[in-house]
Amino acid sequence: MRVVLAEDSALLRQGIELLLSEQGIEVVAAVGDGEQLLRAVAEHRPDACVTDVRMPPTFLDEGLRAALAVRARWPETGVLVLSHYVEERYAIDLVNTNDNGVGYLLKDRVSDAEEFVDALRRVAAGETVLDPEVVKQLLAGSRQRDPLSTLTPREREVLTAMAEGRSNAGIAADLVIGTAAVEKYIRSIFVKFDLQQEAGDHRRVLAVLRYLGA
Amino acid sequence: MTWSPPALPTRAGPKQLTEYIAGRATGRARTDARPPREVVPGNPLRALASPVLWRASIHLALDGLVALAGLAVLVVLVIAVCLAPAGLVGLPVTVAAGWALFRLAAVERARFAVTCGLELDELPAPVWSWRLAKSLQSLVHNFCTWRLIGYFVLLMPVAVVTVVGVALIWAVPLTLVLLPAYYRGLPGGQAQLGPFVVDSLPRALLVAAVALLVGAVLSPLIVKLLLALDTALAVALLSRPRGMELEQRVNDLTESRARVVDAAEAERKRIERDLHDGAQQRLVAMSITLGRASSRLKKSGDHETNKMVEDVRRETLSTIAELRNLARGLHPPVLTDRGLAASLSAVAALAPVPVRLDVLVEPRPSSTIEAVAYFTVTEALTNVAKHAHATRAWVEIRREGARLDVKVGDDGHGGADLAAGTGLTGLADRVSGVDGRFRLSSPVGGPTVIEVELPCG
Repeated sequence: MRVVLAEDSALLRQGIELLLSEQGIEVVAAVGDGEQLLRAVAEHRPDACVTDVRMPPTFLDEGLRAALAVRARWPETGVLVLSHYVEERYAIDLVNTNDNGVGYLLKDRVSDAEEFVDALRRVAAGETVLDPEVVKQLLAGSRQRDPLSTLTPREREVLTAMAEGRSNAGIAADLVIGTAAVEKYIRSIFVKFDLQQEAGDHRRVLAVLRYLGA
Repeated sequence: MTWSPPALPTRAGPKQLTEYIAGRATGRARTDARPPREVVPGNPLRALASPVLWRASIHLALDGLVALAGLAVLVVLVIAVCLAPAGLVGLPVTVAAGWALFRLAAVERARFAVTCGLELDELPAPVWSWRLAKSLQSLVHNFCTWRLIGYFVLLMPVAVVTVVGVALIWAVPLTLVLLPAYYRGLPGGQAQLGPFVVDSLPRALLVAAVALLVGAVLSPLIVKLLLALDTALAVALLSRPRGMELEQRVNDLTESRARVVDAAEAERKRIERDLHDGAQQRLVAMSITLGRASSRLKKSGDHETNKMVEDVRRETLSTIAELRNLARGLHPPVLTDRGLAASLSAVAALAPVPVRLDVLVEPRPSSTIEAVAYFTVTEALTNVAKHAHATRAWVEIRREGARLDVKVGDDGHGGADLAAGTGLTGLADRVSGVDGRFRLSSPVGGPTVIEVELPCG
């Protein structure tokens, strides 16, 4: 497998280069910034490239933008992005523009040579590799976005009763509250699930389906 | 009134900053240690011998010239203002006359300094620029313009009094002292001085003696009086008013505090960069070498040594993780890069209790304000995790024009106290450092809500 490596720290660049060659991977070019990365990829057409996020000249997300450019121009080249920090926003950027052939790892994962090389091969083969930390953050993010978690305990009870097929009057009797209160809870659930009043939709059923699907 | 401070680098490095403040401090010390104002001595003999009296007399005699110059400037100014409807002619002439007014005031202050040893504080001049409308606006809004106009208007009658006064008090005694010398040449051999008729040499000598005596005693007194009038006018209208001094001090302090906060923020960023480029890179490089060593040992079958190397590698990795958290706590790069929403989503994800995040900040505020908002949220969430016993927390950040509202709440047991010495005090300090407002509501039993308002003009 042929790889282009972009990393501005000479120390790390050398380390990664040695590690890859020991694992039988040919590093065809090792460069220091995003601009050179694009040129090296254009010249060598590698199977994959490995890049740092923060690189000169801006030291912001230079490497990430170069990675996205590589994916856009040479879809057959996988990109593996390394960073000291794992930010889910960078991962989302990567995954959004191209849903495979990308990877995003914490830099220190590189120290496990087999794991790193495995990730690189998978990215080159068109798979997506995300650092466990990123996955953790993404899951936490989706947990926050999950409308079920925004329900109050009472609304949850009402929704559960709805799923059991109870009518408003039945729910009111079960929970010992008035039917007006039940209607208020249901309206609130519709708002939280973003269910608009539209002809042809049974919001009650949709809400229950949302509940069961979650 | 517009007082425009000297242009400063917005983000001064720490060295520049100390130098700037030090420079300002010495500047201020100089104005405070003002030389005592020169006073005409009370003793007539000493007064006559003192150069102060003569300089003061010259000063009074010159009042007329300055008053004439002031009159000229004011006349031009009035004509220019009358021409203002004609725009193209009136505007530049008005600005030029305004400029001349302030120049003349500077000359006048210099005159006071040279002839009376009176150091007057410089007036804040309007901002002169080639864009006439801007200069004009600055001129009109500067209330010192009006003080100067008042000064030169009042100087006219005052100058009449002082010039005439100083001429009389020196000319009359001198003329009379010379009377005996002219005695022979007097028409009819006699002169009428009020009720007295001088018609003999002894009388002329007597008049000369009296004139000498009266002149020597009275002239210094009258010079002193006239000078006091002149000085009072100058101090009242030509010098910077006291309130302004205070106002400018407040401006200076606000500015220097903003610079200190910015510098501290820049420093945090720099330390993060240094860690990132230095220790973190080295440790990662080390861990890679250890990883290579480990896989070689694995191949060679030396499991004992491999285990040791693996232990060291794991230790290195946990050090890297610690360093990462430290650096991220200083200033997360993604904050600079993608703003509050992106950087806080990671914070919310890593918080031990579920955090609902609602961030809408458009356009982005300055990096210092972003950093303060970021640390408000991280500190508040740390407190939630440590003390609140909450099951969930929420964060809401909104930009309302020139204000950034940050709210962090939890459903914990409340009772948070600013005085209790938790991270909250540091947080409140940090917010006040950028002129923000900090409010904490945490009744016992909860919920706790922290509200922070940050200015982002």
